[in-house]
Amino acid sequence: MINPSKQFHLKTFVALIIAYVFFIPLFASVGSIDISVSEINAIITKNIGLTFSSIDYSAIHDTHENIIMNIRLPRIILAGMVGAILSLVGASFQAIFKNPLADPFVMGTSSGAALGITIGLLFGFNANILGLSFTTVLAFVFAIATTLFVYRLAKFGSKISTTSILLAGIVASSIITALISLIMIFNQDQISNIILMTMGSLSSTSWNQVAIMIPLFIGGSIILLLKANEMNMLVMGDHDAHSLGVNTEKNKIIILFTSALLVSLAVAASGIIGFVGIIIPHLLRLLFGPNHKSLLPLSFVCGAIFLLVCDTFSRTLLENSEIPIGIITALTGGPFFLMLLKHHKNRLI
Amino acid sequence: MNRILLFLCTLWCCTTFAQTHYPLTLTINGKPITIAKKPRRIISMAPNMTELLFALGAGNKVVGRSHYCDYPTEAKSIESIGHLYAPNIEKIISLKPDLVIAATHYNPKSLRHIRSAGIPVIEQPTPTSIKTIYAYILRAGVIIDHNSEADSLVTTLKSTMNAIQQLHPKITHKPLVYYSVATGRSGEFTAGGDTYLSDLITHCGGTNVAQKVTGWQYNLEMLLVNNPEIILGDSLIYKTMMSHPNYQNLKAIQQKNFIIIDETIFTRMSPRLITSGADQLFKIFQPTLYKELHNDKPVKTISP
Repeated sequence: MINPSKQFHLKTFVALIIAYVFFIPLFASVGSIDISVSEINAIITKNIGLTFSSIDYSAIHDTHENIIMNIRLPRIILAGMVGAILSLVGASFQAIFKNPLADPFVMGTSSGAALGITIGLLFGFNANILGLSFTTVLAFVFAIATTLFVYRLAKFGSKISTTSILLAGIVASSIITALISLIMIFNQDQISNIILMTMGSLSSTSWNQVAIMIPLFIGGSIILLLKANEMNMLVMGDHDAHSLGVNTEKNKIIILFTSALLVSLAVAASGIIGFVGIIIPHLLRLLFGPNHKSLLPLSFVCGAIFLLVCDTFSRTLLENSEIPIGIITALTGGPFFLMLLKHHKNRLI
Repeated sequence: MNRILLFLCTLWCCTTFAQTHYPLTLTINGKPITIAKKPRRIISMAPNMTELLFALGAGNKVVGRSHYCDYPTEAKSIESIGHLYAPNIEKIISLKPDLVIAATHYNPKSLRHIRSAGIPVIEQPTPTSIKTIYAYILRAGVIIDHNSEADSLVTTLKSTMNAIQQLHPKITHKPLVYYSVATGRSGEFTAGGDTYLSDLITHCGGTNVAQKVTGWQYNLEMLLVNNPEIILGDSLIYKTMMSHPNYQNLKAIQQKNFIIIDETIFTRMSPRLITSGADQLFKIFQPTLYKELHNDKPVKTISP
């Protein structure tokens, strides 16, 4: 199944990174106020502290600089981080649960995190320890608990079937949505925050949010990316992996906890955004094969690009209001998910 | 002979202008509504309707009010029928009203329910201008047979507005104003050019930043580009704008020109919008002319 000769697609990876960097000024130029790409390049390079003779810095408009630097850029960066997390975690979940439909949305990890955040909002926990707020810790605890609950519920013997994972995911998500709605009814003043969280939205992003997220984002992502080999083994089955010298339980736990932490960060930043973790890893598996050594880094970059594109649509499709990003990923990813389900139906049920 | 003619004239005036004949049939939103007799038990499902009924001297006829009706204070002792979009239908029917009035925020399904119980329901859409507000007041006067009270209320409101209007030629600078209805993660909401609030801002000597927008939706980027001199909003909006980095480059925030207002005066479309709101806005936008407006007269303040 796995072709070890097919190593890391370095060229593709580099090309995608370059594409992402080029997309930033391009997507930053669209919005309710038109700002030219050349002005954006001037603004960005000026703020990084670089000067190029080919760029005209006199054309920078103060308000435009404010909009780009304080409103559009942090949002673009955050969209990239959230997309990278969801896609990377999707690929990792598919490996440890040995199921093509496992993803933080389907497994209830995102809903669990959302419940933790809702409870956090309710009690107004704002305390920060090393950039990790108490609310994020609550989100993490609930994310882990929900994922384990769905996993236990779905597991028969050593395998989890697609039907049982979907059923368990639906049950867990319904219970959690009901709890969130209940909290909403008792706390009318938090309704709009809670609704935005359940539909997903990147509006009102500030550099603070990006800064808070970055250390754990980088740390968590590196841990998952370094587990590519172990994931390759895990996909082959616990028994085979074990005989190849992989401590399966320990690795699964590390991957699961790191994933839940990353998803908690993503949900805290943007609410529940579904389907990214399914579409991206699957497309990449079709294009570049199932080796996690290339699948994981490619998922990471492509997830970032995908969510950046979706978020640009989210904030620009309507003139004065936003379409929650969760709606856009569901409308694009949902049909893809159904196709996948149809494709796997005969094999996995 | 003359006396008799005068008497007849007065009688005619009274019957046509100052008294409503029942059954009264009105067309509201294209649907005919018949009110069989003079309403004596009214349920107001909107805070502005409760305020209006009290202003028209019909407060003692209100037997039910929405959860949000808190003005005047007497209104609070009236039985609540619940929230605007989810009223308690059983409670409404048990109060045996002969008229139910809903305005702006209501659930058409609930209203159909109440109608099917044989209770006449008046629904009033959001007024788009100050003139519409006058028309609604007069219509309410006709419906509950408080015609003369409605007439005199509208006359008072018009004279308040006229006093401000007369100072318009003296205005040298109309500050750029942003009225924030809501802010933060759910987006920016303001009063667009086609709203009664925009009408009021212009009338009180301000320039509405969102003049070109229709409806209530706005966005952060346009707010930053248009950079208003004055921002109006309630204390919650003040807290959000002062604490979120996105708003710190706004002129109004830097120069401490965020003015906290009582949103119940401005977002409800009650007579207080003019009796108290117009005065407040004129004071904020045109402080020197405001002194002239009240020059010798003591300033009438209406407690919120």
